[in-house]
Amino acid sequence: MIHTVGRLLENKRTKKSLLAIFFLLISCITLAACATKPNEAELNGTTQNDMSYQNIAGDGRDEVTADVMSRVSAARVTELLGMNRSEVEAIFGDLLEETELTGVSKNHPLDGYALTQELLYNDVPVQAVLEFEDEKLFRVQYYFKSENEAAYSFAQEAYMLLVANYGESDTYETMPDRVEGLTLEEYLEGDEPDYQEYWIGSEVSFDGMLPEEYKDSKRIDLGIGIKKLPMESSTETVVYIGGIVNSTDTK
Amino acid sequence: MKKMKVLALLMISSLLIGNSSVPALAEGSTMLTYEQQIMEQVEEMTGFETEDAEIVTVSNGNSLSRSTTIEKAIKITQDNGVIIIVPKIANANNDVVNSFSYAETKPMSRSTSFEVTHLVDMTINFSCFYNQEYFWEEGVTLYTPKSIYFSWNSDESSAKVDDIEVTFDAKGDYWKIDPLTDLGYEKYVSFEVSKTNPKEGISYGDWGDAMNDNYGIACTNYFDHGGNIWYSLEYTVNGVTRYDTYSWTPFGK
Repeated sequence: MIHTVGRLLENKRTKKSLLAIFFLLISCITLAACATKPNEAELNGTTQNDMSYQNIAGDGRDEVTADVMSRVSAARVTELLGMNRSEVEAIFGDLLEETELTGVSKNHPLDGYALTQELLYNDVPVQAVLEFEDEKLFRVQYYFKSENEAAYSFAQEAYMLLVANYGESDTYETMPDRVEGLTLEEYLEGDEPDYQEYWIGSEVSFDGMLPEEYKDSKRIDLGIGIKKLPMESSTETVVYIGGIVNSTDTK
Repeated sequence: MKKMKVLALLMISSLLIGNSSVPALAEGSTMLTYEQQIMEQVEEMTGFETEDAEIVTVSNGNSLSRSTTIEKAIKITQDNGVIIIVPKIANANNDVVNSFSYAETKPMSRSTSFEVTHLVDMTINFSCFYNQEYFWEEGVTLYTPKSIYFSWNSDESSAKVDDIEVTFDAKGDYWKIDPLTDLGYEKYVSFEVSKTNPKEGISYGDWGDAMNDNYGIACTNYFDHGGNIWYSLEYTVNGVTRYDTYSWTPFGK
């Protein structure tokens, strides 16, 4: 009996020691992380208007992931659109990987880069793709796979941000398939596969991207779109922010 | 003496939801399901009103083979009886099959239907039809353009459309759907309606160049590919003549 109590006490002491060491270690790690963790605004160079993103403390990989998401947030993207490929490459560095994308024909690979770092939007993994036209950033596409609700939320947040920055959209009032007013239920259960919204004459510059032969008849507007892709056993979603080609007759 | 109820069973063996028999839509039509399209075509071909018709299941027995076929039909109730119409269509193998069953195997036909509201005392209604299907194996969305329709209306009795031109055109890489094959060249299709003094409330359309259901175009170029609806019109209200033109892009890369 005494022997047993002694072993228990011994075990308790051991446990206490181990717990103390563990808490000490945790404290050191936390202090070190706080000391070295840069300000989020410093990291992404963005403002309070940025889209929310998940930043999971204590996991370095997730912090990097969240940071990458903030770098392709709706607010940041409007600053990047129209930028030369070399400048974009300098910003994203080794996060870029040339890719052939789903959502386009295998016979017609997109002229773009996928970010190799997985992004997180509200805990949901997202793949971002930077798409170029004439060596300038034309669109950023966000592949949510089957996380359709998260994709819808992302699109709505981005839409609201664009409204805040550029005012009500110029999409023709009675056109169907608009992001404006689209409910989650309508998006998930409706038959419509594409929804979009565009702004004419935003400050985002697509100068030089329109081929000469289309300059009289076409125009590039800033837009946002959300597309449903029915797969074999589920439906996937792609959201994009960037250029939408309209006719010059579209006022 | 009670009037005897008449039950008529009609078999209509013709191209319903085919490429060449799409009738003009009723004024104010919005997006039509295949069932609604079949109803409208039955109405066009038979003259029976289908507004209050129901879609029912009927059992067709064959006493010789002792087999029974269960299929969808349209039930039209009239004052003097009930009419059951079983719509049929000839498929790609020239087999006559039930139109509803056939439709279920086909991609959903979509329409972009909307009103032009910025004109003075006049509204124009557009409906542009095309199939849209995403093929996940190849990661390609194919569009199969079908038709364009318009009608106009106004609350002003003096209103009239003097001239109007409407087009729906589409261009992209040409694909065959079954088997899924990139045919290696581009395809352009165009639907055009040009009318002088079109009547108010009447739907005018063009479906003559409707693409076969087994083909489609893929938009792989932002500037050169896509679908486009365009109009140009001259109209007069209260003695004032105005001109307007506009265009929309229902689909693109």
